[in-house]
Amino acid sequence: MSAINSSLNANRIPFYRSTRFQNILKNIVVYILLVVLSFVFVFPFFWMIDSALKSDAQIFLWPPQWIPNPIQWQNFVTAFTNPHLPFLTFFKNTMTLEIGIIVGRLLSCILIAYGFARLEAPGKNFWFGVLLATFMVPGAVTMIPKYILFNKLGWVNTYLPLIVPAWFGESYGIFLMRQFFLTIPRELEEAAIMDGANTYHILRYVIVPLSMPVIAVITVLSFKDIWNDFFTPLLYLNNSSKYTLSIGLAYFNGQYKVAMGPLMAASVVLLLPLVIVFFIAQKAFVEGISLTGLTGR
Amino acid sequence: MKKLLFALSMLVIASMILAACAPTTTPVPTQAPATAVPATQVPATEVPTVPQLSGTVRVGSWDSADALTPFNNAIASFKVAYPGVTVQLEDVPTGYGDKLLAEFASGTAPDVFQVGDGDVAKFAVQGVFEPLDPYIAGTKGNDPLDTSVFYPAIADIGKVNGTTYLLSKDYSPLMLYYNKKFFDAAGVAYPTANWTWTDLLNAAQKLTITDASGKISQWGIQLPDGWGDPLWTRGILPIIYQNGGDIISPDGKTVTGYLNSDATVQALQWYTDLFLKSKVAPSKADVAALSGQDLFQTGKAAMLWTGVWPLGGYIKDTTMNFGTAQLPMGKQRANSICWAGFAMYSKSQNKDAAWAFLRWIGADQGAQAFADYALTAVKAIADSQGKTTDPYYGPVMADLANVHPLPDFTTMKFNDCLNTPFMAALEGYFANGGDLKTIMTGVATAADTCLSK
Repeated sequence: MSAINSSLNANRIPFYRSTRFQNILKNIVVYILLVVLSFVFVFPFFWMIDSALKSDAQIFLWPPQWIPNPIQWQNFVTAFTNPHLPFLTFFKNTMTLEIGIIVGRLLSCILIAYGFARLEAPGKNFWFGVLLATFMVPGAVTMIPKYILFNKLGWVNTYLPLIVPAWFGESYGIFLMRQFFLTIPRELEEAAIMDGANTYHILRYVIVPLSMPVIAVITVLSFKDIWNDFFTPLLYLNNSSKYTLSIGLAYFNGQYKVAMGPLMAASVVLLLPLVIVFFIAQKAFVEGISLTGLTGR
Repeated sequence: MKKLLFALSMLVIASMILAACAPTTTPVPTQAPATAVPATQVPATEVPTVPQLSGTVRVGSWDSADALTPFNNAIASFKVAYPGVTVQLEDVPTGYGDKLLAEFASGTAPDVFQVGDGDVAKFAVQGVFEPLDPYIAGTKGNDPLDTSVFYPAIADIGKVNGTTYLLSKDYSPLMLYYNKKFFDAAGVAYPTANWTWTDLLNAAQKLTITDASGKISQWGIQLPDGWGDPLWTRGILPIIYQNGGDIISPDGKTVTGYLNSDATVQALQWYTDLFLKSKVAPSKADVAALSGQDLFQTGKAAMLWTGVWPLGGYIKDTTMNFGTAQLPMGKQRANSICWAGFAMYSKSQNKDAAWAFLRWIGADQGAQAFADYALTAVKAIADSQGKTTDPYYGPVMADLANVHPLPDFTTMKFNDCLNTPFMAALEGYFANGGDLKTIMTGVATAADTCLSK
């Protein structure tokens, strides 16, 4: 009925009030916004790659030289052949942390989150509140007490202060997993119980296979955080032979001197694993983000 | 995008400002034979007469990458002389201060650690420095250290209220660079050691060139540094000292009567007039407009007043034809300094070995390794390198005797109470003018209140 009315009255409605025009307008606005935003997001990457191929003098030229001329591949050589910067060692060290932390974090978070999601215990919600409250404590507050604690344990200058805490849960991961587990229908577990499954079986054969999206989210986010973490390894490790890649990068960005070209060249290379990990896990990752309400819906 | 570039350039500028007091990391060609060893070194055969040292010495440094070479060289030579001691270098490329604070809190800082001149007063109050005088006097069962091997003014920088806490790592006083080509073209005589403020101003005026459109194409002098920060206190201090002024009392308790004294205000007037009245020096905006390029190197400034750090690069640049001179005289000769030192941690578990290493890098053979990269405090090493007679370094070394102690060391509140408000007031004067005496009296009064809290 209304469609007939609107088509009948079409000649009376000003063009700017027509649905068609408003849709086009909406699309134009959305696309402009997306183009501008994507420019904002992509530009730093472009600038990084651009600078990686320039000499220091070219980097600081004004107006900027958009296409490096001549192209300085030398920056990559400088960055990765400096005898003071054993990137292979740094890479091994970083991967030790990645594996040690991610494995521990996934195992502990799955167990703890399942407990919060399904099992009954006195004061469960209170403890969940306490867990969430630990989000709110800024890292700077606990930094020195934690340092003193690990120092008393004799763990300074080892990877233990970095890896061991991950085996005892991580509030953000637990929170994400619990929210995800709550969306899994209870009927599935009940069916498993009917088939004689115990809690371990339910976790192993029902919950975990269904939770791949959230596991992917936590893995990717953890991978990124550990990859980029600069201060924690710096604080606890004393020997440069134990340093990680992010500290290695900082060598170009010394207290008093910045080697911009090699820094950007190394940054480009060090970014690649993150990009690869993201694309491998992309499908599960995006699904996980939308399912766990990370988008704020 | 402009904002991003702006932010990026600000980052770069910030890093350059940090370089202000940087121990220069530019390798400096050395003429010293590898065997040059100061006379104080204990020959290896006599080592058994001192107690055998053993254990581990941890050494903290903010240096990174190539700047670690002197550390590695010094550690290698130390290992030969003291085979029982293991030296563990803990290099922290950035965040050095934060890491030190955590280590101080848990009592696990390195036995020997590098300290910048801005941290000395704060650390001294915290009690993290081991007083070195007993070790220097040899009352700890070690050989005494003859401090006459050092340049006296440089060795004094390591003292706070008369107690020696640090040995020098490297340093840079302020100096004057001049472009010979521009001086010749303008028919102005090169700067000499006897230049006065008037000579400098006259030369700067003749060397400032305005093009047809009324724009200045060549500045007479860039000061007090090469990165266009006219508020940099350390670079302005020599002018104040040269006029017989000061900015704070030697005990670090009073500012009134120092910062607003006639001598200091007169010096600041002369300094700011170079920008505002005679317009021979590029302002911050002028430097920013040239997007952070080195004005002296690119031939946009005929003179440069800054530290020793660009010298190595200038010498390597064969297109440059320049000379160096010590700072001009005011009423007297005076200079200031950027400085870094090594301290021993007061809670070190192995102080005897820590002292042996500290002494090794501060005064003995290890100091040679650092001298290859920056100016050394040990006279014999500087002499053996030919630094004192070098045409470029000679004038700098000649000015060492005129270096004043750093006002930053007098009180840990130096930055909060005096330096920051002083720079803000100076910035206000650059922007809005006014009466310098009144302005500085205002800063001094507020600083006194702040210091007494």
